[in-house]
Amino acid sequence: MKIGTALVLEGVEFRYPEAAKATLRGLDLEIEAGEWISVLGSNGSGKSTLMKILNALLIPTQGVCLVDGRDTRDAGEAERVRARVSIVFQNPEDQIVAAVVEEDAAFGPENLGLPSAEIQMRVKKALTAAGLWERRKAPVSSLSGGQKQRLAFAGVLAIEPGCILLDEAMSMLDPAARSAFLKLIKKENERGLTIVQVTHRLDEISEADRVLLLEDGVFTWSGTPEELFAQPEDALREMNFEKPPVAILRDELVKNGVIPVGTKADISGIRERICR
Amino acid sequence: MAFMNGVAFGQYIPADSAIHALDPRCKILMTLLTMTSIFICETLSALILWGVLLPATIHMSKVPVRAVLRSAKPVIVLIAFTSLLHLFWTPGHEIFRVAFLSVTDKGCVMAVRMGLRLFYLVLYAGLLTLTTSPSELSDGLEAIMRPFGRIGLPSHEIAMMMTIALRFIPTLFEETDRIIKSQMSRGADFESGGLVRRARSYIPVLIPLFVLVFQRADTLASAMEARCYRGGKGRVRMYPLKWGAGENRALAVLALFIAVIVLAERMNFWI
Amino acid sequence: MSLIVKNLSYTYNRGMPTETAALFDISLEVDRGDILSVVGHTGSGKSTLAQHLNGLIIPQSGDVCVDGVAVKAKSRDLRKVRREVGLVFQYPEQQIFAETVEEEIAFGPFNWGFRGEDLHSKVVNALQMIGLDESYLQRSPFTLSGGQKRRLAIASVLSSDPSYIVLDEPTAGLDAKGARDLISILQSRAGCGTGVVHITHDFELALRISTRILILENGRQVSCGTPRDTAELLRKRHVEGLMLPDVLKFSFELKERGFINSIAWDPAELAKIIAGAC
Repeated sequence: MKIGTALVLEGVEFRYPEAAKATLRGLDLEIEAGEWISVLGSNGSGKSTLMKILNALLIPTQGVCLVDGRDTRDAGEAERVRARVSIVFQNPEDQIVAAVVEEDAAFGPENLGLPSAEIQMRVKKALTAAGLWERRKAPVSSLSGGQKQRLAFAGVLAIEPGCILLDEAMSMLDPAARSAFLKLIKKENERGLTIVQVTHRLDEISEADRVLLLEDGVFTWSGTPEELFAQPEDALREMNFEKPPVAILRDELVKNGVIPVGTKADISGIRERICR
Repeated sequence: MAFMNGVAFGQYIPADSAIHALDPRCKILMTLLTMTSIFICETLSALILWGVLLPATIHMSKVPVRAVLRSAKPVIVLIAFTSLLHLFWTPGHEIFRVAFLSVTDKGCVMAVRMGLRLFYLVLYAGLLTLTTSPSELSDGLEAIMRPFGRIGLPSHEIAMMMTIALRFIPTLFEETDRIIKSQMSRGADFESGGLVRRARSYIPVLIPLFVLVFQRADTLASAMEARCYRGGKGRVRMYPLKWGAGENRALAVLALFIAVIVLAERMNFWI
Repeated sequence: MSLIVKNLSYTYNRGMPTETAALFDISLEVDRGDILSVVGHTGSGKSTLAQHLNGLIIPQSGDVCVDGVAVKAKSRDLRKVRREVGLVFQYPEQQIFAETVEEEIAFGPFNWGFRGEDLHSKVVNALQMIGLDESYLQRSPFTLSGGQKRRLAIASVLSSDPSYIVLDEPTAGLDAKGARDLISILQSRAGCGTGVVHITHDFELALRISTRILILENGRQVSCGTPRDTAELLRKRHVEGLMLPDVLKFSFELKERGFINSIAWDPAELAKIIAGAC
């Protein structure tokens, strides 16, 4: 059974009512089932609008958004889309609805009207995947920020979507919590879930299959994370990113002739190639 | 300036007792019946009987007595005040006098009766919240209100609002605390000055709080929609409420108890 | 003239069943112009410490002294301390309440008793410190971008002319340019003689900009020293909840294997060291 959802955008434009300019101006994108796509963009680039188009919270004012081949504009599609494409927002406090861990995780499946036994099973699976099963009866207020965001993720997993959208989902987490969250996403992606992640941090995208740059409502760059890290430091700064220190280390070592040009911008890659 | 963190579950104390295990609808109905009966009964002896039922129920619920008594703390002043009003202002045969205040025989009876009634009311209500978690309570209320949906009562929406409100109490406490501290760090003074000045000093706390809450409501609504929420239609609970023999038994026992008291009062059995 | 903390300990809810110890015997000193970074896992006591520095929390045991004034419960001294030590919480844009940028920035100095021309010049100064011009004065703060709101919140603390400023994760949630702008504001303040206490999870940033780094672990002080000393210490000792930057960790590994002689956190520097050893 195919787990991942495929998403297609064709000529998508979106203009908010009474806005002078369209927020999204002609986007074309094909995302295969099971892919991990990172969309980089700063504030005002349209990234949140893009997220909402992908899970049918918004319908394109022009162009088409297809989820598993089905047009989001069709009547009744929006609800079906939301069962397939779910979204995790930036602040866990803005997403958690119940006061007890397992009750919040159950919110999604309860809305789908599944039988109670099925709901209990899904909640167990989702909380276990997120590492929160032991805390299932705990009050939400006793969780740390990182745990709350993992709960929000579990709540989305319990719907068993084919695609998870992450709208800057890690920007409020401390480094330890971010690393745990990335591991969680990676595990789900390996299971076949499509991941579309919007962020402005380069330290969150190294596992992505493809990286796209969204500027002012259009995609201006596309490539693999490696290709992005290969860009020179000031080019990245122009795009409003800080080149990760490890990538800079790789560049400098290549410059000094210590390692060959094709070396990957991660520690294991560099370690292998250092003259020994 | 002390600003406390809200308690997550209000009064709820989890325990493995017959009372805890009862369906919340049953407990709510029983509490309502009890409270109504207490108010209807006239005789002191009936009230004493109700008083005997209380410790029996507390014992069955395995909740510490101190916790039950603590639920009366916020209203103890009100109860005392009401009793005193009845003590001094009920006409009847005067027993003794304190300055311009006259204590009558009827006054004594009324004071004790009113005081006991209010005391029981609060304690039985406290027992309900001590043995029923907030989510059970909101499920129970929603189920009870559902038949009134036909006359337009939005039972699910009310229950959902209660759930969300309770969930956000600790969060909002923390965030308000942080805003207050931020403004204090910029020299805001919440303690000095008259009532009006002090009220105005809270504007730099209330405005950011409102902004926060409105923005949150927006995102929360999107998050709920994204998790396929579409109101109460077709929703199924993870732990559905079950009404069984235990509930029927509990109701029957209570009904009998009430019947006995009412009958005895009618037959003027006691004072 | 410095901000001195000596043997500071603090327990929340002391004497009650919910008692939790938050700080044990912390000592530090911040001179004017210093940048002290405070690093530690979530729950290690960083924000408890921060709230002691401007008198929001009164020391239970130990002392906090700001330019010679001890932090105690007496109200007039407390106001003085609050003025001298500005505290910026995490996501400070959440404290914005005024109708105009000018009003927001003026709130602090107004509370300290400034009026008229004095007040206005403090507002304009603070606006300049954060890199915005006077055209912003009458704008509603709610129309600003995220990064601008953050800087506005900081300006509204800077406008009181504090001698020290304590910031809790000032770059949290900002993009690269926003974070860079903010750090340069901190560095320029330090350059002008303000003592900066900077709580951060970004250890790489701490190494890069600090005069000294204080590491907290479970409420206890692991060390307080220069970036280099701190890095050397971390080579030998693991600190709970502290994620070492990849480049630094790699340099530890290489030094351990005898491949290089000195550690480094700056990638260009490490590259040079490695090239030298090759």
